Amino acid sequence: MATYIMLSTLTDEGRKTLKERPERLHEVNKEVESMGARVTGQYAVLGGYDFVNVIEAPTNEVMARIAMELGARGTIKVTTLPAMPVAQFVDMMQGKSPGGS
Amino acid sequence: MPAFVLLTKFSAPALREAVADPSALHYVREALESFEAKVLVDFRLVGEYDHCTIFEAPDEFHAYQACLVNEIGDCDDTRIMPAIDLQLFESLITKEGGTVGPHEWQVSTWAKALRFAFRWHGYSRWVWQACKPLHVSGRENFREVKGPCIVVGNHTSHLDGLVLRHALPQRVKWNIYSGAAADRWFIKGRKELIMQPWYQSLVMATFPIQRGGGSRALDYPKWLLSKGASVLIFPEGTRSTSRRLAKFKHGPSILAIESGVSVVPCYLYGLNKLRPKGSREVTPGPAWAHFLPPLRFDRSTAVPEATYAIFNALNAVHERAMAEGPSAFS
Repeated sequence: MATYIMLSTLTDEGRKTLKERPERLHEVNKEVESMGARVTGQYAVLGGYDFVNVIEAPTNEVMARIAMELGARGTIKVTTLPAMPVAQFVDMMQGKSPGGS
Repeated sequence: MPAFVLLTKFSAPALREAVADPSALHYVREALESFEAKVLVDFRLVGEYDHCTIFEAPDEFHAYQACLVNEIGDCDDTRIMPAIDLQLFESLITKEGGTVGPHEWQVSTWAKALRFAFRWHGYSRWVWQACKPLHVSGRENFREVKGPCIVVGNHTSHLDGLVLRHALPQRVKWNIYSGAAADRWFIKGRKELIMQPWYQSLVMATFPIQRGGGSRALDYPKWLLSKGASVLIFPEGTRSTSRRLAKFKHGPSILAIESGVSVVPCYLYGLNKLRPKGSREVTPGPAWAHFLPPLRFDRSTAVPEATYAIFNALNAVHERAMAEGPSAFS
């Protein structure tokens, strides 16, 4: 499974939905799981974004579908960044794991 | 500890350095940890940002201080975002959001009587289910304690508070209170009985502690001691997963010196095996609670000196227990 960081910002409609139905936070996680991915970390944050989600998905295609499905509802805007653990990236750069030079 | 999310964009010189020596990418983690922050997870990103670090810090000052060093060093841009516990966030956006307490009525006689009646529901049933059996020793040390006291224990499991309270002599148990995270246990509008703030104040005898609240967190315990009530504290601040005791916070020492009350250390053993940190499962097994002789500090004692004495008392038993097992103290 690959890891992705999804930075999301609520739209006006999203704020209204969440205010009326806070349980939507958990429902979205279940929907993500039904599309073949898993939310491994989720934070409500103050600043430029409203939520930071750590998601594990099998492929870029699955992740792209999730981002599209969530964005199409008009309640959030998402920025999805492929991620890998720093320790793994350092190993790769040092040629200790596949992908290194 | 409060959590933060840090998004970082490295500068070109920093990227050149990382290509030459990839281990330099650990710089963000090291910079944060040098300011008492604990990195929960860190990722290398592809896209708008280069790095995402999720970490806990004692307070916002430490978090921003750490990020400032980071920013001056190797980064073109850093974005630090305080993260909110999702349960608290969920309750905050409902009409009933927010936290309540402390409830001063919890020290009244009617509350103590109800708590006594509910002791099975509150904690004893969990202790009976988990501890097979629970060995308690050293209760006689409370004979030397007249009036209120501060009971301190090592902390490795969610069961610690329940077991320690269950193990106390009835005289102390009748009127002892412990802190609990306000943003978890004192949120208004929760549905479950044990999550109701009134239940926490009445049955569990807890009071809310605001995370990162600094010295204000001691105001209510001071008030409790002034009213003749005892206080139960885990000076490590959070559950430890190491074989060593974590650094002790100064709260118990400050309270003991200012209020002139005794500190009774209690060494808890075996509970991390019954319900380790991070687990919701309880595996029944033996557990031990061993009370040590009370410590007393006069007003001229320096706070670090008192903290050191409390730590040493518990650590001496802990090291023996690690080497010899429970026979070291039981």
